[in-house]
Amino acid sequence: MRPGMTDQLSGIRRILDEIIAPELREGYPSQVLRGIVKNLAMLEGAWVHILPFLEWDTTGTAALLEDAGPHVDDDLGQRITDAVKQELPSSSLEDLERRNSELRGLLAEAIHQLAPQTDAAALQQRIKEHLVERTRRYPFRMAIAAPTSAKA
Amino acid sequence: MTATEDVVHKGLLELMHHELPDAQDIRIEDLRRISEGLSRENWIFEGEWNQGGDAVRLPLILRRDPEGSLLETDRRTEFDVLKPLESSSLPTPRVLWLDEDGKFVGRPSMVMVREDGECDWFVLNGSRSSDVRLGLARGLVGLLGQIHLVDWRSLGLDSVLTDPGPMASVAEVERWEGVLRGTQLEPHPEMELAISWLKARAPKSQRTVLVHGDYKPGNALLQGNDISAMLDWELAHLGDPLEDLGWITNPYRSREHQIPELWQRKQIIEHYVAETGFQVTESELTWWNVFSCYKLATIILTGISVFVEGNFDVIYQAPMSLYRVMFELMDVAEQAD
Repeated sequence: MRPGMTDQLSGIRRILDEIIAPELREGYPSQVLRGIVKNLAMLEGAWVHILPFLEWDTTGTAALLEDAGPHVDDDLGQRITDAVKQELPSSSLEDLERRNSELRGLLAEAIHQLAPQTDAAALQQRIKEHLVERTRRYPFRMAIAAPTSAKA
Repeated sequence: MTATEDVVHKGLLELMHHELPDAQDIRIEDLRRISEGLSRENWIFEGEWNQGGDAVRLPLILRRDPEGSLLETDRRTEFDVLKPLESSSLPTPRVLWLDEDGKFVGRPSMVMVREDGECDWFVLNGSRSSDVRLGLARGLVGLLGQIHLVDWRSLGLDSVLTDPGPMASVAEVERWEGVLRGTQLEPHPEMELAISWLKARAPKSQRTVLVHGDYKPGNALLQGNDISAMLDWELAHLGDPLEDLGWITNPYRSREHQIPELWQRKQIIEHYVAETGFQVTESELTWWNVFSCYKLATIILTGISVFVEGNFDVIYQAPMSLYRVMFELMDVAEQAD
C-alpha cells in the first residue's frame, strides 16, 4: 500500500509547508496553517501506535474494573461484570475505540464510589498508576503553534 | 474584503452610530483580524469621527465571540467588570462599547481602546537581560497583589460578580465541572479522579478578592520593559487569592511564570506575601496548583470539543503531560499530610 498512511501524511505536510504556506501573508490563516503542519508531523509518527495503545489500555482498564467490582454498588457492579466478560474486539479500530471508551466510562463512575472507601486505597493507587502510565503511552502529543510575541 | 470582514465592518459602523448618536462622518480604517487570541476573535482598526467640531481618531480593538471557543464567557460581565476598574489604580484596558447579544456585529462583542505594546507569553525567558526579566517578574507579581487588594465592594463589583464566601474552592471546582460536563466528548477518569480529590480536600479561603482568572505574561501588555496593562478579564470573578497564585506557580506553566534559579516558586510566594500581607499556606497553594491543572485541562478538553464540532481552528490533544503533573502534585499533597 504505497503511498501508505505515513507517506501520505508526510506528503500533505510537505505540500502545505512548502507550497501553500509561503503564499500566505502573516495573519490568522498562516498561524492556523503552522499549527496544522505541526500536527501532521506528530500524526506521521503517532498513528502506528494507536492500535497497540488501545489494546493495552483496554486490557488494563478491564483488570482494574474487575477488582473494583466488589467495592461499588450493585448497578455499577453488574454493568462492570457484563462489560469485562466481553472479549477484546479485534475487527476494527473503531470497535476497539468504542470498547475502550465504554470501560473508561465505567472506571470514571467507579472512581467516585471508591474515593471514600479506605479499604480500597490500594486499588485507588493502582488506578492512578495505570492512568499515569497511560499518559506516557498515549500516542498523540500536543502539537500547536504556541503564540510567542504579538503586538496588541 | 472577505465576507466575514464585510459583516464585521458593517456591524461595527452600525454599533458606532448607535453609541455615538451625535457624531458625524464615522469611519473605520485598516480593519483586520489578528492571529492572537485563542478564546476571542480580535479585530483591530482605526475609528474616526467628528464630535462637536473636533476630529477624533482612536486605535480600537473589537473582541468578538467566535463560533467556538476554549472559553464560554459572557461579554456583559467582562464589560461590567472592566468599566468600574477604570476608576481604580489598576492598569486595565479602556472599554467603550458593548454589543451584548451580537445585534450589530453578529456575535457578542465589545470594543476597547487599543494601546501600543507587546504581549509575550514567554517574556520571562526571552531575550531581555536577566535583570530586566527579573524586574518584569517582580512587577507581574506586584500587580497581581494590587488586583487582590482592590476594594471590589466600593467599586460596586459585588453587583456584577457573586461572592462565593469561604468555600470559593468548592464553587470553582463545581463551576469547571459544569463546563466539563457540557463539553466532554468521552469519559475522562483522570478528571473524575481530580474532581473527587479536589472536593475531598477543598480549603477555606482567608478572604474574598477579585481574581483575574488567567493571570500570565501573555495577558500583560508591555511597553518597553514596563507593564502598561493587564488584559483579558473574561475569567475574572470573586474568590480565593490563592487561585491566581496557584495558577502562576503551577509547575506545568513554569516556562511562562518562572526564571530558572532566579524566580521560582519560593521567590514568587515571598514577593506576593510582601506585597499583600496575605498568608500563604503551602498545602493550600498545592491544592490550588492541582485545581489549576484541572481547570486548564477542562479548557483544553473544551478546545477539543469545539474543534470536533468544526468551530475551532486549533487542534488540541487530550492533555496527557498536564494530567501527569496534576497526579504528581496530588502525591506531593498526600505525602505532606
